[in-house]
Amino acid sequence: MSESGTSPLVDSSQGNQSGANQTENDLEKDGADQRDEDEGIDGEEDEENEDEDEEDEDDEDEEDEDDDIQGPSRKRARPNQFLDVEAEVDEDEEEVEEEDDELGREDGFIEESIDAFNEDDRAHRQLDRQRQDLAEADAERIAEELRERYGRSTAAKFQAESGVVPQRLLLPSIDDPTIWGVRARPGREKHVVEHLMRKKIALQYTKNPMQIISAFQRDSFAGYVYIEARKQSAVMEALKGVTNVFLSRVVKVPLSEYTDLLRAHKSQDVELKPGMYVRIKRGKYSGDLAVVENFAESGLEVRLKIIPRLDYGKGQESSSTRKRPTSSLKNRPPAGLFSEQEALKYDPQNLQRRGPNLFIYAGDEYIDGYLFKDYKISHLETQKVDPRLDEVMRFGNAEDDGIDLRALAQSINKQVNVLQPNDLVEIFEGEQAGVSGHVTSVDGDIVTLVPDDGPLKGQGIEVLASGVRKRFSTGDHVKVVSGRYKDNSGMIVGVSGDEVTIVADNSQEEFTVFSRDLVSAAESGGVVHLGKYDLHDLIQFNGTNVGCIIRIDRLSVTVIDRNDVVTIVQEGAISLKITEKNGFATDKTGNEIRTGDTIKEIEGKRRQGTVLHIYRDVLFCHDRKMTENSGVFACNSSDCMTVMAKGGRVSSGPDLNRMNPNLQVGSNPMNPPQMARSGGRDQTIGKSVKIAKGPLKGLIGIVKDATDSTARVELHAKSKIMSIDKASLKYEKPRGSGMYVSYSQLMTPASRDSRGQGDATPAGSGGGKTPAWASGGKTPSWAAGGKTPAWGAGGKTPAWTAGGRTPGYAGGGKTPAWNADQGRTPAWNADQGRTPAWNADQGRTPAWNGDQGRKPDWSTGAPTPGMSAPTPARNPWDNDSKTPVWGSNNGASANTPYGETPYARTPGAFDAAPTPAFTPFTGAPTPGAFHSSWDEAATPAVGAPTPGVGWNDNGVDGEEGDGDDDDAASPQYAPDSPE
Amino acid sequence: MSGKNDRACMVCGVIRSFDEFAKNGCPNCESVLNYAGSEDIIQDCTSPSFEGIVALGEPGESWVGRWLRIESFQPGLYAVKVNGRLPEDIIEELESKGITYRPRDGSSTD
Repeated sequence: MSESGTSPLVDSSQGNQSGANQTENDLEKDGADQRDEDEGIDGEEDEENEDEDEEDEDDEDEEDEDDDIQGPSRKRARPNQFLDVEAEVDEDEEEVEEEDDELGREDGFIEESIDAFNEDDRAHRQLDRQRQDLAEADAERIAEELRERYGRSTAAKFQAESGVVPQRLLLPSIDDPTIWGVRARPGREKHVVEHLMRKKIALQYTKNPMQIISAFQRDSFAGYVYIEARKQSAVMEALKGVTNVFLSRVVKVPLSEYTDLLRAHKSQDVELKPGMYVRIKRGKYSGDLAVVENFAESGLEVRLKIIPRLDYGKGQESSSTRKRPTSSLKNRPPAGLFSEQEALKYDPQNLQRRGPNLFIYAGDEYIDGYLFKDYKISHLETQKVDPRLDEVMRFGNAEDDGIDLRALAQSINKQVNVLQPNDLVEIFEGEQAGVSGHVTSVDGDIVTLVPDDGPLKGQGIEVLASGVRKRFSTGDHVKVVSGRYKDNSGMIVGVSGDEVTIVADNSQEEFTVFSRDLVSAAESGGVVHLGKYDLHDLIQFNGTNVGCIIRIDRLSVTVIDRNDVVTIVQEGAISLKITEKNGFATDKTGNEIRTGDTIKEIEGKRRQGTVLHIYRDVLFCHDRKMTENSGVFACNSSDCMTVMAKGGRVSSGPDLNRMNPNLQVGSNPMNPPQMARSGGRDQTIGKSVKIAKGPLKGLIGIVKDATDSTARVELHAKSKIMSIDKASLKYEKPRGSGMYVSYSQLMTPASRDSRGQGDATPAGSGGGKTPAWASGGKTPSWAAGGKTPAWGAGGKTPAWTAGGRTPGYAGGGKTPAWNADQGRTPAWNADQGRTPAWNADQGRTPAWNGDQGRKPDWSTGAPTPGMSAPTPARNPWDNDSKTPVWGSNNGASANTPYGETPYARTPGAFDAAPTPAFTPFTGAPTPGAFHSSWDEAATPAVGAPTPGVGWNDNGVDGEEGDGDDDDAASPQYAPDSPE
Repeated sequence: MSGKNDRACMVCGVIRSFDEFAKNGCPNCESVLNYAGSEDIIQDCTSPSFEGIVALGEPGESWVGRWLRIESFQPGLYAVKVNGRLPEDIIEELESKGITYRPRDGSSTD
């Protein structure tokens, strides 16, 4: 009701009465009228007002009795109004019309009563009226507004709902409908919900309305749509025909989880506050750091302080077409503070000055050189801002030199939950602020702690992790576990709130961090990496000096140089990191040392350690037990002895082959190919290989590393490195050809060039003594192998003849791998046994016996030393004619009593071998070659590995004690044969 | 249905497009906020940033509706969370009408 409407009403009532009494009546009546009008509204608003309405009516009835004059018309109006209100609480248009009618009627009534207006009381009444007007103005205005709005909408009951009920009283009960979770195609959940809504509305008034009550989706539960219904069948029915849902997976959500589904998390997990850092997600400044300056009221926009990227119109000239969106990111101008001079110089028409340091340039506002611009929060990255120090520094201005750690901390992603049970923490938020205690458990964001004192002492309190901070006191030794000073440790020198000042152990530098980033630490440790340099890295610094990092500080590293002297190197002085994996050195006895081996100094400090790096002849070693220089020391390789080789690599005494002049000759063209290794680097390394045996057969890979018998193969198929016996691999050769050869084939041809080197490998000599070799010879598989056709085929390769018999072969035979190969691969044996030439010899020549006798390698291949010697031509001969069986027989013969026969060691047999007579038969071996083999045989250390020599060893057992000793590695060898 | 222009009423959470708000107003809050025809009010009192869509079919029966305090509203699509806050003057206006504004951005706790 408008003011103009009220005034006549008041006037009218006043006109009917006079005197003080009348005035009182007037007041009362006006009040009643006022209430009447309100009543219409209140009734609609809330039914609670009904009682009041009735009271009002009673009052009015009394009034009506007093007011005789206006009685009839009022009474006509009253019941109507009352009834209308009661009947049509929710109805709109009609009611309003009626109300309007009624008002009109009242107005009409008032007009009539003006006739009875009494002039005398006018002044008084005017005063009263003014007063009333003032008092009622507010209420009336509200009433008016309410009338206007409530009068025409169903929202009259808007506030009559649960707005005032605390949410905990709304928790679900078993009487509530059930919520079902349904799998939906991720990304289509919203569509499903909307679809269901449309379907629900569409079917509302049909015979089969949808029985579901509601459906919803949450971004935090991707892949699910939740449906509220009484029955699962209703859910199924509702989802029939809905695409993008998977009906096979409908799960009932437990009652207790209902509220989790509908939790309205804070609008941002990181609540933006002025001063915080954010990153801009799109536009010219995408990726740039910005500082929140202010908020728009809606909370959807923020005003950011940005370091502008301006070209002052320079770029526009060149690109008149302004392909900004595509090229802007690449070609955007560098960030720099706004410069008035530049703007004046290049683009003055866009520049406006608004204050000493305030400019409007091209529609944007620049204060103190920074751009201030409004951004939508949805265009900002608030979560993983992780401002870099240099970025932050650019925002740092003169007056507050320091960086706002608090703002920084909020921007830095807190990925580490650093609270751990038994931490001493203090609550600083909420009702329990100030309470401190020990953490008993941490469950996500909830921390349970037991206060140490106070009224709550001993009771577990659950608080949000964000509301507690760790408590430290001065003098504690702590370690920083996150943030910029991560991994520093130090002593607390000051605590203020949650900021803790620490003096670092390493640098003696003072810094301030948050207590939550700290854990108490007994040990002191430093940063473990500086840029790309890690602890224990080998670096080159100050030009040519080389050292191993033993400690890393923030801007410098401490190294041990090759003279075992500790030096501090600034970051800038580091030239490079030396990564040499294949470095090797030799120890005092000439044994190979590789990274990872354990060595011991035999002079000086007698330190022992694992080799970290080998740099020329300097070993950088690490001993865990040593505290000095964090256990790292440098020593000269020639002062060391290998204690243990990495991975059990065999390293025995010095390689005597090296000293053997005969082996150095190498001029003989008949020299056999060698199973040599070049340069200490295993030839197989880097080769493409195919696995020829075992469960992984057929897989292809690359040899990453190799020992003498096994290779570390990186498989192409599974990205995995496996140790595989070299002999079970086939090697691609030549590279890229796709042809694969066996290990022995791989090694054979290559060896001719590198014989000397091959012999030089210290491991070579020992190989022959490996039990594997000896046992290999005896394994039934060997014999069995003999029968395979491959055996025969292999036997025909001419290469064998040469290989098998030349001294070089014997030399090569010393590489254990080769021997192993020999012992185990049937192919090899085949070679040995079956070359046509050999067979021919055997079969046809009278000299066959001699051949037999001289065939030490054959006999060694078969484990029994006696094999060759004892066999009077007969047996093998017979077998020989039967060929393939021969091998098997041979294998069998290993166990035959022949082994026991004294022949094995008879000098006669021995003698037979060297006789020049055999040479012609076998063809390949020259006397010279044989001779060297013979010489080798004489050298005790070599004895075992070469087949020939092995035999010799055994043969001369009694004569040469040394040889026997060296043979200790193959103890089975002799005992087995008697079987 | 859920286009780019969809906005959610900050008072009741109903989701509609901007145009629909402008044309028909809010099914629940029209009486108090007078959306229809007033783009300023739509700008101020609805938010384009909301999360969690609820298809409210039977408001009276729904626990979901009760929990989200939308059980007395019209059936329709509602947002679980509406980012943004009403301007202060609107909040005061609502209060003067006896309506307690309960932010739907997750900041109100009770």
